[in-house]
Amino acid sequence: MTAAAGEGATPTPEASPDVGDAAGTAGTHEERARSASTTVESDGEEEIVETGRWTGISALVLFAAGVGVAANSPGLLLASLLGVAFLGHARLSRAPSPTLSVRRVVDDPRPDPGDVVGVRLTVTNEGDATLPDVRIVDGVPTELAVVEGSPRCGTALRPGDSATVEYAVEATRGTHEFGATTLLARSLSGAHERSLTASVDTALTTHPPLAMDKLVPLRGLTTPYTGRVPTDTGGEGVEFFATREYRRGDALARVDWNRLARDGELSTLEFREERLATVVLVPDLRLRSYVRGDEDDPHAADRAVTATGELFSALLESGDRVGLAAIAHEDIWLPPGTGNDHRARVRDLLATHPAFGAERPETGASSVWGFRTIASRLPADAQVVLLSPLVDDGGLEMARRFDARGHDVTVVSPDPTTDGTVSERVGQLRRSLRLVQLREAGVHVADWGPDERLAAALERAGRRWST
Amino acid sequence: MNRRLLAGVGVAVALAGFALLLVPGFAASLTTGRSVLYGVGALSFLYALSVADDRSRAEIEGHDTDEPETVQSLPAPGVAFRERMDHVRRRSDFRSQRLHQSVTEELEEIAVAVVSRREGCSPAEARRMLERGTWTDDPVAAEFFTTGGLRMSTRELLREVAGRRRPFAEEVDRVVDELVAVWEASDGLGGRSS
Repeated sequence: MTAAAGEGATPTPEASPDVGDAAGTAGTHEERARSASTTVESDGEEEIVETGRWTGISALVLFAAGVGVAANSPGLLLASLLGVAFLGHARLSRAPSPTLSVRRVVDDPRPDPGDVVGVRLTVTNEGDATLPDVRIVDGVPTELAVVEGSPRCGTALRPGDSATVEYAVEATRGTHEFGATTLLARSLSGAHERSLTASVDTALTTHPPLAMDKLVPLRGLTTPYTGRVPTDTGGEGVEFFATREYRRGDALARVDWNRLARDGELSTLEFREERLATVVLVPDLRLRSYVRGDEDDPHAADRAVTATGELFSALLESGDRVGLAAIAHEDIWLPPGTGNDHRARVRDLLATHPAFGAERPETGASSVWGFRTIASRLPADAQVVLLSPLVDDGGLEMARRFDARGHDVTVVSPDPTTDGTVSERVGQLRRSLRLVQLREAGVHVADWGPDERLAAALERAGRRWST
Repeated sequence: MNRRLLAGVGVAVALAGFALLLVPGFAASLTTGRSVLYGVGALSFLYALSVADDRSRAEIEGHDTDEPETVQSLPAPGVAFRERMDHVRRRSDFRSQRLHQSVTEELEEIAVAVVSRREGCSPAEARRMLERGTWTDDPVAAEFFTTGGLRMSTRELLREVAGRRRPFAEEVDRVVDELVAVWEASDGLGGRSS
């Protein structure tokens, strides 16, 4: 098969506005994201399958001929000859060699999570011959569910005729590239089938909302700067911490006048100091994390990335410095920072960086490599929030190792387990034991259920941590 | 052999047909009695049955187009255990002993962790409870760990094959159910806040 724009071809932009200013360029870019097309032409080298649809007819023909001869019935014999003619046609016909153009248009290439996005795929017969039977199956991104219509159809196409497949998908976080469209061209008899694929570069990119206003309970490791994380040090703050002997220079407002009146001793009130925390969010995106208990649920790796965005937003809102890393097949490290630019950068990374893609990658990172790479970059005073489903011992080991290096560790664990089968119950038990092991080691763990909001899971876990 | 014979018959018939075309007078010397017609009809009928039988067993071929309507298929946690149990269910011969052993070891590791936490005892004490069968009231689950490696013996396998012992997979189901019950009773799985 050859392709005018070929497999993996450069998309052909639709007609662009005839303006050359910035707005026009943006319009063209937007249009290019919405719509792309390519042309595929058979070169006769594609695999042709004999479908075997006429094998049963052969039996009928032989049966009619046999009975016709034995019963001396000219009618049956004649009918069998008609069957022989059909069989001869099926045997001698060949699968067509089509030339087809394929154009895909999406309603919105940058939808919000949960939006229903319409997709229209138009296939046109650019050749000179009629195609009696064309089957079209679009390459829907693997993590997008079709919620309306169907991405496949079967039709006949005269030269110049087009067929349109319309369906809608529900957008989820990340960049979702459409796969190749499969085009099956069959002969009139249906006895032979030729397969072609057309790659039309189209993608949906959905940015996470980064919206969680809930305060994230953090551990005690802080920076020297004033913030909102309570410490075990007395000083400036709002929460009472202790009293100590008065020293020259102490502010009068901090003198414990009640005690002076009661005991005649001059003492100074101290408050719990509140400091700024540096937090690095580490989603565990090893291959083992691409699991799910229910096909309708997002997989655990996807939930970990979604939670990363929500935690990032909440921590940034509360004034902490937040960084980003991942144990994934692609290296990613964003040093801790603050501010709107930092926020925008993380939002973009979570939507477009290959490490955060929703599709399960071909290769994955090991927990040992991931730990070493990230540990070498972590600031000494950084807390680690590890987002791992804990479905193997790798996540457990990483949390322990970060803890052993002196980083306060919090594990947020999206639960992908179910109890439908014996093996799933074993998986559930093993994960529960890992959670307990981490808690016994002093690591804060938030177990995040599949139907639960992250904020609710953190609030529940926070109550446990504060007792 | 059959194919060669049929091909030979086919060639002979075809040659006879050509001969009839070239020398029509040759037809007069051929016997065209009813018996020949019945023979041809019977052959055709038998061959039709053969073709129909082939067709009933064969699938209609075609290119695989996957299922674009559904999201990517991903495993659920516990898939490794499921694969091992699938092997166990498929094989009940002597070579399955190693599979039985690995499943038993994994369950024992989980059971030690679960029982030691419920009882607040050491792993060694939990292991003794498993060996004594005192960790549960379920007789099947209790027996599972009592005889250690002996239950993997050839004698035990022969009993299972002869239907005189509960299938291994069934025993595993009972043990796992009991472990989950014990864990939930000790609030391990009962609440996420625990």
